Amino acid sequence: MIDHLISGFMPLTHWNNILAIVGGSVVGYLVGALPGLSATMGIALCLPFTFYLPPLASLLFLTSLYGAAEYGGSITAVTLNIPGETAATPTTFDGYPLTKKGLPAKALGMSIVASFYAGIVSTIALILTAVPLASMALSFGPPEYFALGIFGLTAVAALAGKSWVKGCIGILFGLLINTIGIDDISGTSRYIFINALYEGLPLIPLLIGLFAISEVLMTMEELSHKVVLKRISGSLPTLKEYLSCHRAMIRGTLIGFVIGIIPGAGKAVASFIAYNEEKRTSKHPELFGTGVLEGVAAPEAANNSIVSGALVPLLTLGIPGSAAAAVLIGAFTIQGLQPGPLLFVKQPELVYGLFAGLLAGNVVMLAMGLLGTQLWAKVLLVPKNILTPIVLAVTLFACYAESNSLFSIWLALGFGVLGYVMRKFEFPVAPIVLAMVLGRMIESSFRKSLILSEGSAAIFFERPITMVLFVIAVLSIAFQIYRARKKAGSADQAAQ
Amino acid sequence: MTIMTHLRSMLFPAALAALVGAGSLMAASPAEAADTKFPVKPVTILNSSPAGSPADVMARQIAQHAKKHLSQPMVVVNKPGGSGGVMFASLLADPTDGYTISTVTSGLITALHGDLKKDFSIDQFEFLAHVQKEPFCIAVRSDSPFKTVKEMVEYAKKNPRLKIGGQATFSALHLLALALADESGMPISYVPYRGGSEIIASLLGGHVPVVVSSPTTMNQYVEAGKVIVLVESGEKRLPQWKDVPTLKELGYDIVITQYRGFAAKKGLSADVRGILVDTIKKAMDEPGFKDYLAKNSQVAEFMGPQEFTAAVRADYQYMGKLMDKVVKK
Repeated sequence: MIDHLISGFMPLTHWNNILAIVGGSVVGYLVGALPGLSATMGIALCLPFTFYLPPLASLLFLTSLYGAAEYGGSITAVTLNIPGETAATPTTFDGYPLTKKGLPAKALGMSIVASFYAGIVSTIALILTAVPLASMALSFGPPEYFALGIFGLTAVAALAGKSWVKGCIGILFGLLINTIGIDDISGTSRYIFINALYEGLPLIPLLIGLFAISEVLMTMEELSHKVVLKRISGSLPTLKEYLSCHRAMIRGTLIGFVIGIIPGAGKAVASFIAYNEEKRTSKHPELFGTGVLEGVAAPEAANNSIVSGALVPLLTLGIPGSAAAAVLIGAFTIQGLQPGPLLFVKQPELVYGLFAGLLAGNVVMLAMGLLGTQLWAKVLLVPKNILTPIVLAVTLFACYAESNSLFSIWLALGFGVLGYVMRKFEFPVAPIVLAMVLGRMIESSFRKSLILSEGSAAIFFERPITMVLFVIAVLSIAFQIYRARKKAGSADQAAQ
Repeated sequence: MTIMTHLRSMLFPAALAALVGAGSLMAASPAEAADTKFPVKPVTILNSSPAGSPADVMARQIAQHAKKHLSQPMVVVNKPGGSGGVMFASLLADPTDGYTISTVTSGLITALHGDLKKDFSIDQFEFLAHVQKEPFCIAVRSDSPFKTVKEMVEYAKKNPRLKIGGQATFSALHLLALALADESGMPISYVPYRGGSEIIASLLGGHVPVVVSSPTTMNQYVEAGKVIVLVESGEKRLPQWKDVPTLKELGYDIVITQYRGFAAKKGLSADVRGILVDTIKKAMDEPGFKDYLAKNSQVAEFMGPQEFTAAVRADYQYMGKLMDKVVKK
């Protein structure tokens, strides 16, 4: 394997492969930073242009794009409170507070280092464990997906902010609107009034509405009572600060990699779970949401580590681990290649060339990210009455580009107003996104499980993976309640 | 497919087509336009599945090899979503001038029996050319307790309901499973998955014992020795699987194939139709196109408008009857 890997680096001496990696990274960086244009969409848009490239260059271009886009999603999450990718949603929780304190470069620096770290570590994990871990991707059947979805929902604990009840209302609302569209199992339509709703509410316009447009509305309100701009510091995190986040990065990387491998799991849930776990295991959970660096490091590590994780089942089994990886299959087949059990045997040079390219792509991404940090921090110096309309126009454009339909724009505007009202009443909007990411998986896997078991709920309790996931879910909730009570108790004592 | 729902369409080719289109429209003055030969601007091919799917690749191959035979480029624009409804709506919204055509697959035609019925009818379209066809197949994992259809039916009758995984409810794959269950008398439960990858993952992971899928999806797993194909649903055996019988050979009166071709909004002028059909036919004869077929174990078969329309209508009727017989009773 070492021989293969060394020979894998050989193609990287060709200028066209290097160009593919750099080009992919630049495009991915922009795609990621543009809210509304997802990594999946970016790959799909560039796919037709790669038909004319040699196979390896085409794959290097697209995988570099994928990785860089996952990082790029954090840029607007940190600077504008608008996640550029769904998976960057949890990055807003602590990234934006840091910006408000005038420290955007700290958050951006942490984000790029965590993304780079996760990218490298997960690629090494991919190289070493792809073949043995492939079976893990297959161990997930409908009952396991259901359990994973339920476990994912417990991340609401970290998102709910001040009120549990409000967080749960958000989750339930998200699950409810998730039922719109053709029902997978019975084939009947639910709440469809127009053609565009056949496949359910699209996530991107919803994300743009809830985050970007509601943020724009909030800013417009602020503008009317003249807020004085705080000084923006360009200082990056110190070495000590990086090191203190090391555990957060490891945990995030691990969570992202594992969820990346599981083919049918909603990918954005990885960064939600990573954030939740970080808050849960932290010694100072009460500081989360006020701008702690671990809160940026964990989800950012998770969403970059997904990239390599999703390639595990893709390369070994021909089964994509994520939506973006599914589009990558198109890139393979267009070139007359078939990712799957025979790829390692028939095209080892391609596989190892791709591995080497992933490592190189992360280095390019790091360089670009560090160079860009100061630049992005400066964006905040643009007066808000100029910046806000630009953000609005760009996000609405991306929203239209995603579907080629005006309907998505109306949807985004509608959810923008909803998001604004929710924020006014201190309802967190992130639980809706979490429920949207998980809802379909939860419902369809629950019903598939019951078809498999002929109606018996025992199927959820006789399988080891589901049991472990349920137990963790219950413990996770119990622990949060326990801690909340303890805190309330000590507060009472203090009062007495 | 699920996961691909986020991918809506190809912005750049569309924009490019629009730009080039606008440019060439301006170039041709109204007086000239009347006697200028079709096409004077690029022809858009709408495709209801995302980039990289079998129908998309087929359309892109045709577009690429049509370059030599058409004065203007053909541009593929993906319009996924709504079980094809998004693409149908967009095809019908454009003028009937031959500048917007679409790919058509048996899946889309079957979908016209389902929810799409409310908004679209087969009579609104005309069918230009048949390009490819492929049967479906029934597969099990190589360590399955049954290795032929006969053994499967016997097994199913002795054990709890046989779970068969496949694509969406009321899809051609679903109907195939129901039809086989109906004729053989074996009790089944159908588990609908979203797309080929989910189906194969579920089979390899042992979550369902049997799946219905397409040979394109199964080829490499068969070659790797992980999967055994019990039977296929075409008229005759496939060249890559000479040992696999057809359902017809086994005595079941079921023939279901999926086809891929091109369609347009009804009412094209005879000249325009002729040029389009001729271009597709010539593109199919290009050596490059044949290479692509060989690489993907695909079989091509050209049919012109009349023959293809008859075939599509026959398939539509057949699937309708099958649906009435096995679903609605």
